[in-house]
Amino acid sequence: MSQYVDLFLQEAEEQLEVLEQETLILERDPTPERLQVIFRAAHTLKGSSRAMGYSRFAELTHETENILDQLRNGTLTIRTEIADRLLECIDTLGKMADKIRDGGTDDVECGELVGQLRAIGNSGSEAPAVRLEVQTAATTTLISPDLFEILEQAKAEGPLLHARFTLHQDCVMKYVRAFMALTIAQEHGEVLVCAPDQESLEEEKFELDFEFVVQTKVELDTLLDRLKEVGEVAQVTLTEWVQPVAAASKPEAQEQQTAIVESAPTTSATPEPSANTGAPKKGESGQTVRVDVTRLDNLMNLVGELVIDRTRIAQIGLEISSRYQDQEIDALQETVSHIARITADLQDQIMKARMMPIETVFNRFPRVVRDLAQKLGKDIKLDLVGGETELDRSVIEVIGDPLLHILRNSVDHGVELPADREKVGKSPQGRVVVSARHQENHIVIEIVDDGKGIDVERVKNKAIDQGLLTKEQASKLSEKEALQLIFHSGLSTASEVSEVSGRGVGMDIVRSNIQKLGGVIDLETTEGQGSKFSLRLPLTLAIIRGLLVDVAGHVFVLPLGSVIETLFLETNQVQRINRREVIVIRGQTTPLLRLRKVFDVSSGDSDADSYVVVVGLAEQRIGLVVDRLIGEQEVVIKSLSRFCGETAGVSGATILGDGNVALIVDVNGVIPKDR
Amino acid sequence: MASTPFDGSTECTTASSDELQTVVFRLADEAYGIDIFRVNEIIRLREITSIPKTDAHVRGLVNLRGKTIPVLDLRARFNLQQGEETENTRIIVVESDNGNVGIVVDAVTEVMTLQSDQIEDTPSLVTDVDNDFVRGVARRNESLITLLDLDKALAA
Repeated sequence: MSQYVDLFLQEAEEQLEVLEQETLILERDPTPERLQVIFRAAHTLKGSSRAMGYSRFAELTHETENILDQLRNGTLTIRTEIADRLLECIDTLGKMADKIRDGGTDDVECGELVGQLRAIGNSGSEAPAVRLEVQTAATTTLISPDLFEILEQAKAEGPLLHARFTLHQDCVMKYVRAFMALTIAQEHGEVLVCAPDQESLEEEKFELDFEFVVQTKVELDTLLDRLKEVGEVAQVTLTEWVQPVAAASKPEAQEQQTAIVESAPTTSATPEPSANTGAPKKGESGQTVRVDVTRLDNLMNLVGELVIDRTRIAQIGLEISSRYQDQEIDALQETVSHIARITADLQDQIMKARMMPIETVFNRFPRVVRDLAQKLGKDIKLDLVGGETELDRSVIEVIGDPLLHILRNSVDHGVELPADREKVGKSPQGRVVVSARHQENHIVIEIVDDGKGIDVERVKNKAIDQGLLTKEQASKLSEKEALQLIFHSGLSTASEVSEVSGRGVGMDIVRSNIQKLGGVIDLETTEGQGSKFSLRLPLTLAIIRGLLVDVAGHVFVLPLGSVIETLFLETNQVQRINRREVIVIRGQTTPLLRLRKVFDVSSGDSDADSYVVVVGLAEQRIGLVVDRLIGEQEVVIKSLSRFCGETAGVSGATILGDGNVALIVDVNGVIPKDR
Repeated sequence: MASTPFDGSTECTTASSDELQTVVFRLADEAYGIDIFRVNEIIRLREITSIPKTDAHVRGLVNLRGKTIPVLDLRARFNLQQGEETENTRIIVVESDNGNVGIVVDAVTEVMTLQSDQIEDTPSLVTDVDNDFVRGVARRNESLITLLDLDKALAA
């Protein structure tokens, strides 16, 4: 049974997401099509939860469905209170699903909510839940004529009902639907025949139609009502069993009652609800396969090892060919380079398979902004742009929280109250835009608000008050540098601590999290007109391009993403300011950091032969002094074991072509913190 | 089996059929034993990439068939004198909650089966190692084998 629980949960998750997204838009834009989509999602959930025996879940969805139905046929109109309740329902249903996932039941208190929903429901007028239509039953049947005789005999023992289902064209779990229908029928009687047979159903070897004959004592209407709960059904009919006659010429022979479950147009027929929302793209079944993410992770690991070995083989090949001259060796070299190409393609393909649209992260935002704006009494329009931009799962997993934090900040501190906005001649409705796009091998995410911007002087003063820097230091800061103070721990510019933000923790954590991912965060602001946070992140965390350098005989890898340039270091170029070594590069003073000292490694030889690798972090430029540049290479990042403890300046390790382990430098970590 | 003789209880000196298979290794002229079920493999010493600014007992990382695993130095961990690396020096790869980890030992001498009645509690005994890391001492003939509590010995 547990596989059905899994399927149920998977479905619940998908449908709840649809519910939440559509409900949020519904508030602003209550079109009948949208209501239909929402109604259908709730309806599907009710059906599947009932079939699984989750009675509370079913009860709550039933009440939700009632409200939605009244909205649909116009006896209720959407207002904030109703939207609030609906969202509350979705949250509660989510909690129930979580409990079920943890091996429990749907035992979440929802009595009060159900009461509130009923109260709302009673304020509108009653309306029929499902439109009924009388239609003549189809005269052909999937049931094999060989079975007719058996059914005729069985008819003597009790009434037989004949159910015919037609599933939606884009139904994704056909067997589950059939299974649910059969389970319901079995509860009320005995299923004698089903067509196609059980096995074909299980293997989903059927188009959209299936039928069964059930021997039951319950009323036709009762069973029909229950059968209508099955989701993703385009049409269901239930009639008394009549043996079909070969020449079907008397359709009015029996009194027949047929119901057509009003179905929403398939998603392909619904226009995508504007570019900024993410309706799950169904209807592409047959083209896609669901794969457990751990399998993809394993594949990625294997490819990672392959990449290491490829580099290794290439290196061995080079060594051999430099030692011997032979035709065979040329052939080997050719094969090696072919393997290298294939590996690169393979890596590329698997990376693509792991890509997910950033939509999955964005989808959380509308709800958060809505709730927060409501709490703060602000009117904010959130636009999400570029949700289809894809990036690796590993990055998706970790950027959600930092982005959310910045977004909350924009809503809380950035956008002003409607009255204040009108005073300065802005429209009372604030606007926050979150956008994502690809740029070279990175993804750029921007969060822009049209609020009051950041008062740089106030930031400076706050920093002075809190003893983060002296007045003198503050006066020397450029505007850009002063803005960086926002990311300093312990600084908050909010005058009061609110529930949302203002504790001064947060932006520093946001920045360090972004930097841990190898990303860069930047901030621009224009007073009175708003602020813009931009994040630049790598597409993946598993494999990076790195610059290999030699430091006293040890090989270190510098992430190429943060390398700006490399240059040969002439000893006479080095100057000292405040006992710190600096070098002037094209007029810009750049502090130097000797990696030998940073990592406390040394060897006997002098370091006359030195190179500088200039790395950039936001506005900062630092020159890292190394002995020698080795080359550029793709490296697979291996995280450090917990046994290694705190490793300042090292973010991970990798295996080089010669089989040795090299450490990956955490550029952010090597920079002294006192600056 | 109600309990193994090594679950920390002190009432395990009575004879029983319980056995413990131990990998015995040498470290600064003393013999130590660890549970064979924790041992993944034993490899020869290979190039260890040291990690700057880590604790003294963290030797660094080695490449074990495409995976990087950390290597700990038990001599440093137990505050023993540093020894020389020889032909016999080995890395024992053991399993732990935080993934596989290698420990450097002077030599791996044997695998032996200990009966539970051969194992004694340690308090009165003097070993070179902090008592916290020890879960018992086994006597065989005239020699002593210190049985290590791996989890404690590996914990930072």
